[in-house]
Amino acid sequence: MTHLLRSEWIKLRTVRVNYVLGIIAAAFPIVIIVLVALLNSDADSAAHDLPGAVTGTMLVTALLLGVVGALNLTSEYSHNTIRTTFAAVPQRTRVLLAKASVSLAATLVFAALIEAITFALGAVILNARGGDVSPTGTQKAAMLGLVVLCGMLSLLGYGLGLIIRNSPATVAILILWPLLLESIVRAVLTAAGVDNPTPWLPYQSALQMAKPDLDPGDPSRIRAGLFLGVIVIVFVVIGVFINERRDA
Amino acid sequence: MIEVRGLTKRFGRTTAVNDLSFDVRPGRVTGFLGPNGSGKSTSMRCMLALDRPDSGTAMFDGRPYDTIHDPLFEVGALLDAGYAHPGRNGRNHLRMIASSNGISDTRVDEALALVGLTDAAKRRVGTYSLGMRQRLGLASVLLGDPKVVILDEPANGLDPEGIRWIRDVLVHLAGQGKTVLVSSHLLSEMAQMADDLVVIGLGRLIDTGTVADFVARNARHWVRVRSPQIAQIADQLRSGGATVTMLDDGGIGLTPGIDVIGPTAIEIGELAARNSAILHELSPQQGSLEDAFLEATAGAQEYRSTSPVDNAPPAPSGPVYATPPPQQPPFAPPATNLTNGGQP
Repeated sequence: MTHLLRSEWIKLRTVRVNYVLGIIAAAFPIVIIVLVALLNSDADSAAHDLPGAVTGTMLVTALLLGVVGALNLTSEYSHNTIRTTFAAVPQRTRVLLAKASVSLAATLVFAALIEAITFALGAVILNARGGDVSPTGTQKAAMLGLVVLCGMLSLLGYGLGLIIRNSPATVAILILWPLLLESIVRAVLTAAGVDNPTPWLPYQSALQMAKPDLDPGDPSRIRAGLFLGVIVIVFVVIGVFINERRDA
Repeated sequence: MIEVRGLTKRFGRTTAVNDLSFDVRPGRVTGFLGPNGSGKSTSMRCMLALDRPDSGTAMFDGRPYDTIHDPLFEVGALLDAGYAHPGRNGRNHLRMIASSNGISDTRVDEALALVGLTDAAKRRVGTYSLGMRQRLGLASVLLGDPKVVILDEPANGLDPEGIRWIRDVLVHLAGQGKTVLVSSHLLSEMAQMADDLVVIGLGRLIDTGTVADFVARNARHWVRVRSPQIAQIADQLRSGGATVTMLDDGGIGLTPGIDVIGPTAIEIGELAARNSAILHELSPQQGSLEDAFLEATAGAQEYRSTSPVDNAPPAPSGPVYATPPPQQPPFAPPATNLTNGGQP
């Protein structure tokens, strides 16, 4: 398995598009938080809200890491390197699990690193401006939850990619899922008389993991995470099952 | 040793490979021939467990491919030079393959040197020519120094030097006792490097055996005769039922000649002797591997163009054929007919 993990790690870091997406995913929260920290007239308030601002802006990072997770798999099909991969290691489930593991590990480390850098930059600026950045326990939990959410979205993209095998279609569904699909489902559930549809929407529900202050009626972080987590696992398992039987 | 038994692969209603069985022996280059769409590539993908066959097996030294651990040490395969990410450089392409089987970066550099791509190793594969991609693909085959080598159209895009190089490599590998299966449309190349052939058409096995046997079975055979008394010999051969085609003198004053389908050179020589005819040439002729291939697969071409001859202007009359025309019926009279016809 070690050989496979090394091979997947080489694949992940030797394609330029991953660097481009990684730079965008890192730059977006850093730039936004630095600007907020510099320009917000109320440094005290900004300091208190810094963890929430970091996790909020990093939702874009999470989506982009989901795209990287999807492309990590679908680009193998679009360039037919999946045949080279499966010819080198014909035990497909091992390959796919190794790829998922590397993708997940890289995402978690990257997300944690970017979050730490973003938070540190914001804290340094705001503290210099007289603010007092000292995150509470729930804020720390939200920051940890954001990292977990990044990992889940990466695996969601990977699972969708396993099933769809097409880069544009996979990325489109990954992005439209939170922006469009769940909005439609929310509207339908609201029209059907459901007071708080959020617990029924996996992505919207999972956002609670990265939310410093939970509203009454919202699912707990763990429950929200488990909901999306189960869906991600189901997609990955279905994808691996299908790929074991399909032609490469 | 590769043993393929009853391999069948369907895509919807289309049967791409139909109950295909053949062996590929070690120490020999085996050519895998077939017209476009005959199922060669699908067969190879099924053998390598990339496509899932509907039935049948492919065994490598008695084991299915997908049960082999670290198969790069057992089987090296190049199915398409295009199976590479264009944004990845050549060395990293090989590293990702090699590392999956625990092969070191040092061996990657050796393989790059073997195929002459050391200088281009850091260039992105997207900038490679087709010939360079073929070399990169061959480098991936050589990474694990495997016992079995499978190549699908490895000469595509190579220049004449590259084609000769790949031929030499394959012959060298077979000389080391490795099992080599190679498909190619370059029949002249195949004739030079292959020991055995597996010929398929429309997914079915058409013929298998040594190249010499295949050509002997499927290519046209005839006898070339040149003599100052060629008209007399030709008449007697025709009366014996032979198919005779007059030859031109090649513009260099050659003795008049004929190509004869039917009787053997011995029979024609004896006929000439009985007629006291002088022979300047009496040589058995045999069609090429290409002729044999076209003959063998004539009824098994999925895509067939109209012969340009059909649309060409009528050929000038007179003896213009240097070789027998392709549509001549086979000769099948008993030898005694010729002997009787040659009696004074």
